Amino acid sequence: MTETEQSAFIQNIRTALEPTEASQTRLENLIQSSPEAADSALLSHIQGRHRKARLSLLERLTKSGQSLDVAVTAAQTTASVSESIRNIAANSDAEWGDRKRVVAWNHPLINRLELSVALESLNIPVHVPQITADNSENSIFRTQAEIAMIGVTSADFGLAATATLTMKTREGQPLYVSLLPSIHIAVIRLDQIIANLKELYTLLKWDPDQQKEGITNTMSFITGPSKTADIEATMVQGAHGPREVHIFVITG
Amino acid sequence: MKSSTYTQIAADAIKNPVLRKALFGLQDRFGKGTAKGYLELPEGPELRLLAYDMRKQTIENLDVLLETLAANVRRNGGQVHFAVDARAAVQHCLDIAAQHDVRMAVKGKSMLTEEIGLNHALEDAGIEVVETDLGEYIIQLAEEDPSHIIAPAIHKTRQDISALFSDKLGIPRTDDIPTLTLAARKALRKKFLQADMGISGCNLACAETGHVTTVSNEGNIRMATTLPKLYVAFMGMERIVADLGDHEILFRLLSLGAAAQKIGGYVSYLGGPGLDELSAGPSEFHLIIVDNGRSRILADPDFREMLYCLRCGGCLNVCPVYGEIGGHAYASAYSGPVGAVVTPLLRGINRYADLCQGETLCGACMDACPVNIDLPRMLLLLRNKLAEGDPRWDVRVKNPLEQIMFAAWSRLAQHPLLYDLAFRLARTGQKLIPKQGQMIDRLPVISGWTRSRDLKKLADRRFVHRFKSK
Repeated sequence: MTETEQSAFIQNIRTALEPTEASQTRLENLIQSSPEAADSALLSHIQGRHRKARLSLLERLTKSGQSLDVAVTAAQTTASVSESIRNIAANSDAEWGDRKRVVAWNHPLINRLELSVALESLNIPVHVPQITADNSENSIFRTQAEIAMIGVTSADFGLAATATLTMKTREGQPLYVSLLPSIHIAVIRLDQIIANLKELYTLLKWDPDQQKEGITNTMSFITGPSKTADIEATMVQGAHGPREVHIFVITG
Repeated sequence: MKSSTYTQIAADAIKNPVLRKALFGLQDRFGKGTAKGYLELPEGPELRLLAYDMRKQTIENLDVLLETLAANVRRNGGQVHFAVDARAAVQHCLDIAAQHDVRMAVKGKSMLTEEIGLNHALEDAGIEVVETDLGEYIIQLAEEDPSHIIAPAIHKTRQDISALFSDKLGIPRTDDIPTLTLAARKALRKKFLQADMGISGCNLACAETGHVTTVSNEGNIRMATTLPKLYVAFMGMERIVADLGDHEILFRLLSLGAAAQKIGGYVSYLGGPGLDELSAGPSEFHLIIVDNGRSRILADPDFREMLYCLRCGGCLNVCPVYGEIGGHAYASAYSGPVGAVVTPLLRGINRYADLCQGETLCGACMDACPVNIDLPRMLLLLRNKLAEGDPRWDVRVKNPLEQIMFAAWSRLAQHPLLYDLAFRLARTGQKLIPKQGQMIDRLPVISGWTRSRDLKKLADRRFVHRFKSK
C-alpha cells in the first residue's frame, strides 16, 4: 500500500518536473558529500582554537545570554557549580510537585557535581536515570521529571552568538530533563563553546565523531527560557517549558 | 467564497480599532526587525538571493529529494506515508490513531493541518484534539480561525482572553497577561502528560539526514513531540532541503522572516522513535508527506516559484493590505500576500478571485521574503488569468462585462472620430450625474467602480483643442 502510494506520488512530481538528468546524478549535485576547502579550514580553526580564543567566546556567550535572559556563569571548579546550584535551589519555589525536586542527567560531568550531596542539607532529592538491564526504573524517572523544580543537563555545544545549547539523544540523558522542570541548568566545559550556527553545522557535517554518531533520533537547540508573545504581543517567560535557563561553564 | 465575504470581513476589520492597533504593532515590530536582520546577516542581505537559487534547485529535484528523505527516515526507524490529497492525509492519521486506540492528541501549530481540516476529522472520530501553541489554544477555545501565521490570536485583546479563560478554564477574571499565560501553562501541561499522540507540522525537512525540523518559542512543539508515545509529523511536500549546509542557511533566514530572530527559542530535529524510555522520545514516529494541489503548482513554471515559500509569514508583516484588513478576510490558514497567491492556486482561482485583486502590487512582500519570491508577479498573473480565462487552471473570465468594455475602449481609442463623438456625448451626459465639486463620486451601471474611488469630471474642452488655440 505505502509503496504504490509513494511511487504514484513521486511519479506525479516527475511528470510535473520532466527531469532531464538521471536521479543519481542530480542527487550527487544536491547533497555535498565531501568538505570544500572553506569547510575544512573552518573545521580545523574550531578544533585548533586555543584557550584565549575560547575565553573570548565565553565572554560573547555571556553577553548574548544577557539579552535573552540566559544567566551564563563561569566557574573554576565543579564544586563551585554545585554550590551555585544549591543557591538556586534554596531560593526558588516548587511549581509542580508538593516539594522541591531536582532531576539530572546520568552524564560524566553532571555526575561529578555530586548534586545529591550538595542538596542534602536542603533536603532536596536528586533523581538520576539508572541504566538497568530491564529499564524498570524508567517510568519512575519520567514521573519525577514531571514534578521537578530543576533539571540539570550538560550539552554538546554552547553557541556564543545566540546563547544556544545543543544536545542529541543519548542513553540516560532524556531530553525532557531540559523541558519539564521549571528551571533548566546546563553545565558545560569551556571547550564546548563554539562561535555560531555555522560552526555547529560544520562540526555536525564534517567532524568524524559527529558524522559517526549522526543527528540521533532527536537533536534540540535551546535558546533561552520558554516564552510567548501570543497575548497582545506581550512577552511572557514560562509558556510551557522552563521559566529560567542557567548555563555554567567550567573553565578550570 | 463570495465576493461579499472578502469585502465584508475587510470592511469590518478596518472599523475595528483593537485589531488595527494590534496589526500596526505587529508590523512595526516584526516588519522592521526582519528588515534590520537581513542587513545584519554576516553574508549580507544578498544571502536571500542565494537562498532563492537553493530553493529553486531543491524544488526542481523534489522527486529524488523526497525519495531520499523517505529512505533515511525509514532507516532511522520512522514510518513514512505519502498523501496525494487532504482526504488521504487525514486518513493516514486516523488509521494510526485507530491502531493505537488514541483518545487525545496534542498539537503544535501547523498551517498544513488547518489546510487539510485535520482537527475536525479527528474530533469526528471521537478524539480530543488540543492545540498547544498559546495563540492557537486561545483560537480553539474561542472556536475561531487563526488570523496570522505566527501570531494566530493577534485579533484578540487581553479582556477577550480573560473572559474566554474565565468561561472555559474557570479562572477568575484578570487583565494580567502573565496570569493568563500561567493559566494556559497549567491547563496544557495536563494535556501534554496525558496525550496519546503528538502532532506537529514541519518547518524544514532534511533529506540527507532524514529529519524534520520544527521551531517554536513556547516549547509546546518539544512537549508534543517528546512526551506522547506516538508522534505524527505533517509536511507539505515542498518543505524540504537537500543537506545540512542548505538547512543552516534557510533555517537562519526562516527565523528572521518569521519573528526577526537569529534563532527560534527551540529547534528540534526529529528523525525517528526514541531509543528506549530512558533516552525518551516517542516509540513510534510517522511522517505524512502531503501534495494536496502542490504538484499542480509544480507543473506550471509560471507558479512553481510559490513552492519555494517557507511559510514564515514575513510577507504579512509588511503588507499594507494585510495591515489594514487582518487575516480573516483571506478565508484560509494562509493569509496576507502568500495566501493571496497560494490559496487560489490550491483551492480555485475564481473562487478566491478577491484575494489577488485586493493586494496592491507594491512589492513590499518580495523585499520581506527570506527567499525573495516574486509574489507581485504572481499576483498580477492571477489577475491576468481572471481577466482572460485559462482552461489549464479551470479559470473562467471573471467579469465578461469588463472584457466587453475594454474591447470597446480599444476600438474607440483607435478611431479618432468615434472617440471624439463619444467624449462629446460623455461631456454632455456627465451634467446629469451628481458631483462633489470637480469630482464624480457615483456612476450609474458601474457603481462598484466608484464605491471607494472618485472620478475627475471631464474638462469642458479637450486638451488638444485648448493647446491648439493657445
